[in-house]
Amino acid sequence: MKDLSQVTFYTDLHRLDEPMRRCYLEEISRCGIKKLVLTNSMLSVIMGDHAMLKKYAAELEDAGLSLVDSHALYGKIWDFNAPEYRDTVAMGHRFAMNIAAQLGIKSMTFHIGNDFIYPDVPPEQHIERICRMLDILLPEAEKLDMVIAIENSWSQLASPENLLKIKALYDTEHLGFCFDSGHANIIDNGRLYEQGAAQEVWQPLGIDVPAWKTMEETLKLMQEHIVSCHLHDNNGQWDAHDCPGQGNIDWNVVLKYLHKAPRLQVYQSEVSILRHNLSIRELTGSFEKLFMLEA
Amino acid sequence: MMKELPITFFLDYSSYPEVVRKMYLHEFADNGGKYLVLNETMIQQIMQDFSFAQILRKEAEAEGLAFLDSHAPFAPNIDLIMPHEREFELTILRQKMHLHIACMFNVKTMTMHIGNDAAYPELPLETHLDNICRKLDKLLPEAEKCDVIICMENIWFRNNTPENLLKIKARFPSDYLGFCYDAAHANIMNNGRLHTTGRAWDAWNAVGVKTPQWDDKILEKMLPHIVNCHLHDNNGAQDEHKLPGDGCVDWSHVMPLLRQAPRLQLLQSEVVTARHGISTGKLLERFNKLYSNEL
Repeated sequence: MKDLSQVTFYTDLHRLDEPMRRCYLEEISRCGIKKLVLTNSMLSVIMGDHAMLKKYAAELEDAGLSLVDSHALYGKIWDFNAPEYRDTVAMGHRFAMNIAAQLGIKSMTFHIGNDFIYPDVPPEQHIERICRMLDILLPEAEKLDMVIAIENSWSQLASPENLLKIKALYDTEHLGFCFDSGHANIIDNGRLYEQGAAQEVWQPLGIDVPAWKTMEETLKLMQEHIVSCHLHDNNGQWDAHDCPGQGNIDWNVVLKYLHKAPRLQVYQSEVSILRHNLSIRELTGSFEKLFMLEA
Repeated sequence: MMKELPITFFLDYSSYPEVVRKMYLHEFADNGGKYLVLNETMIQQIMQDFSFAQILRKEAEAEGLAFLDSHAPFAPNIDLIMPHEREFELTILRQKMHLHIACMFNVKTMTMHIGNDAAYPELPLETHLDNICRKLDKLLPEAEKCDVIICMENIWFRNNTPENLLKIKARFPSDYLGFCYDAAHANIMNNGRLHTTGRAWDAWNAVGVKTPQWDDKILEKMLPHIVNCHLHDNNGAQDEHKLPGDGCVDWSHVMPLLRQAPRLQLLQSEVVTARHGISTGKLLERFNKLYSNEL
């Protein structure tokens, strides 16, 4: 990772109308950013209004920006382990992947899902549902020359071990991992708190203490298959999506492993500048500091 | 004995805030309304936010209302006529998603615009018809899976005359393809001749035809395949979506004949109440009169 041009940035473009989007994109571009993420919210907007596909593309091009990677639709309805409307969910993901492909995007990050909202469903059944969804989506990914990147979370289900279990079932380059630094920190430094995001999702499953794992342990398990990464910080308690350096992540460890991840295509900022009222300069500044750390 | 047919109503309420939506539905139900159309705006909203499906359904159920039929979103870039090969797969997936949404609501028909050739005047008519058929070839198996009949609608363009709809239908003997007879569109293609300008003139002139192919037998031609219908009125020049009786549609001709359509499942009001300041009370009163041949 050498400079900002190699990082893709999450934005809240979907919240803006056309004039404000144009101002904002110009602002982003002037701050040295070159690449953006096709977010799940942008995908939703395009799914609702086909004309937005070309509008987004034209506005980005005008600002000298491009879309490099993407985030799939997620949440209770869209996650791979969702029990309802599975044919429709699969169709929706295929549609979203085709939209991303039209925009020249080569990876899409997916949430495999949360288990804590279905405490009665055994883990094997979740894995089974996830795999049945991948059975449908992987051929589409292959057709579109796209990688499906499944993301680690702080839930029991989306642990690195389960991601590896799933990956082992699919001998294809079109399935990889998205390493999320903030999520990995919750399952590491979450242990510093009596209550937090991790406890909230493990305890409904009858497990009092989450299976804590150091950042290094998570990275070691995931490294070989990491294709994309979400870089953001927190204090281990909640998923704050703050700038690198604002939480307690050991970025030396993160960068050491990411740098050597053989399949890594892209470094992605998943900082939420709206949530923290940050300027774009503050955002890019935090990533520039991260590069200096690496140097 | 006269065939009993439910009347469904196109109500353009879904974009309003929750309190307004609920108030409007209550008014509609209080005036005796029972059935709603899952219209194109609603489907677009659901495509953008899947959780809205549940909201719409619950709000309708709270008033004892049910969705009975549907209308797919339409625009030149998503209609079946869309000629760009690069977007073929996207169009198919989008239209399949529309069918899935209809299926989620358990509605049995979806009216689709095959598209307007004036949007692509450079292409010959036969190419348009081939493009439409290629897409139907992909969509009909999905319609069968969803148990939703695709109803092609007559409009006032050269490519969606009854003759061309019949030409398309002849290529697909499936029960999952039928027609939606739009009484007001038919009126434009008949009484449009009384005006020197109007929708039909614009549409046919755009493809190089000086005078539209006026037709006073549209209903007769479409009759064997009509599954759904759009009932509204106009002056023959513009597509005004007025109350039946407020234009020059000959309802004494339309209604008795329409009732003989062997596949007809329901009658649909496509009056745009908001455009003309029409109360739901007046809307229902007028359709009751139409139903009992009192217009």
